[in-house]
Amino acid sequence: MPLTLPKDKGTYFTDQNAARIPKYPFGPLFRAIASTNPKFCFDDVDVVVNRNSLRKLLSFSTGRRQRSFRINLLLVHNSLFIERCEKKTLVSLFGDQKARDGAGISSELLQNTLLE
Amino acid sequence: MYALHRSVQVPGMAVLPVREGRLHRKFCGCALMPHSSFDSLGSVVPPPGDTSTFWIYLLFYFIFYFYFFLSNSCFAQKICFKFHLPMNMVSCSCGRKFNSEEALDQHQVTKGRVNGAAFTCKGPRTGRRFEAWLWKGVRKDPKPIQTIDLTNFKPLATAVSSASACELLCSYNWQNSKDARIQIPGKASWLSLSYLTFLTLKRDCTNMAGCPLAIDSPEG
Repeated sequence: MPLTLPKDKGTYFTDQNAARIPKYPFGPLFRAIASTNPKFCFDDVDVVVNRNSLRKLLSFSTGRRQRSFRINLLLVHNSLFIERCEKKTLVSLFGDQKARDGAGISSELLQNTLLE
Repeated sequence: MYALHRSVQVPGMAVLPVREGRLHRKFCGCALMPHSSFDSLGSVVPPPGDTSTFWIYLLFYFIFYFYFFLSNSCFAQKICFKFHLPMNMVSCSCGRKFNSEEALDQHQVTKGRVNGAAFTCKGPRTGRRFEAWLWKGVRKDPKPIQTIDLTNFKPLATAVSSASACELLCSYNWQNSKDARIQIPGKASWLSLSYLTFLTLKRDCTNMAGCPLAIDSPEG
């Protein structure tokens, strides 16, 4: 079944954690762990990284990524925290032909998949 | 569409050349005063001794001009889009143009993924202008800790696998609200779960550990 979606229009987060809490992008993670898994300790964790930073590193290592990027590295005891760093944490799209449609696809397909 | 090479004649005063050339994003201040405005600016010739109208027009013009020049903001893009004005687009080496650097990035990554190493859409836009934000907050005289040569990378023979056990530590979702508010565990916004906890985080607190944590009553 072909799926027709309108182009994305509006303001979208590129990095919601940094947009909401610029000083502590990993803050929500720690709060969520403290709430759901209070006994968890980071002593045995070597690397904490989010998907976006991991994709950037993998793209760089395979030679696909051509542009420079930045990640913040923070070493806390034995754990390395790789923090995402973006130029803009918000992006405005106007629904024209050049706009992307990633947000519409993900929300539409997620609802269809879970409802079936 | 918008002739920007205009000269406004105000009797008794100097000729004011308006900027000529392609309308860039930062020059949207020009676009906010289309033909009719310029004509009216020229026709609203203040009587001798009364130049207040002219100076008010001029003041507004410079306010808009410097706002867009300095801000380089998304708001300027919205204005350009609303009034069908050409925006300051970024070009790829293949000739396509994009509204934003993010769109260009996505295009180049996609092309690279499809065509492999032989793709032509390489990102040549390097240099101080495009990479200045990368050094924000870094000390003025940065020295590289180590240089990684991409050609020396050799993939491991062992394939990456997720066969080992995984442990779910936590999940959270951001709430669509003005304050920094998350729900735990995370879920799709339209899916109902009865064991949700809502936390409101302080976005401007100086110490996350000491930040007061507001917990709303869980649903159910």
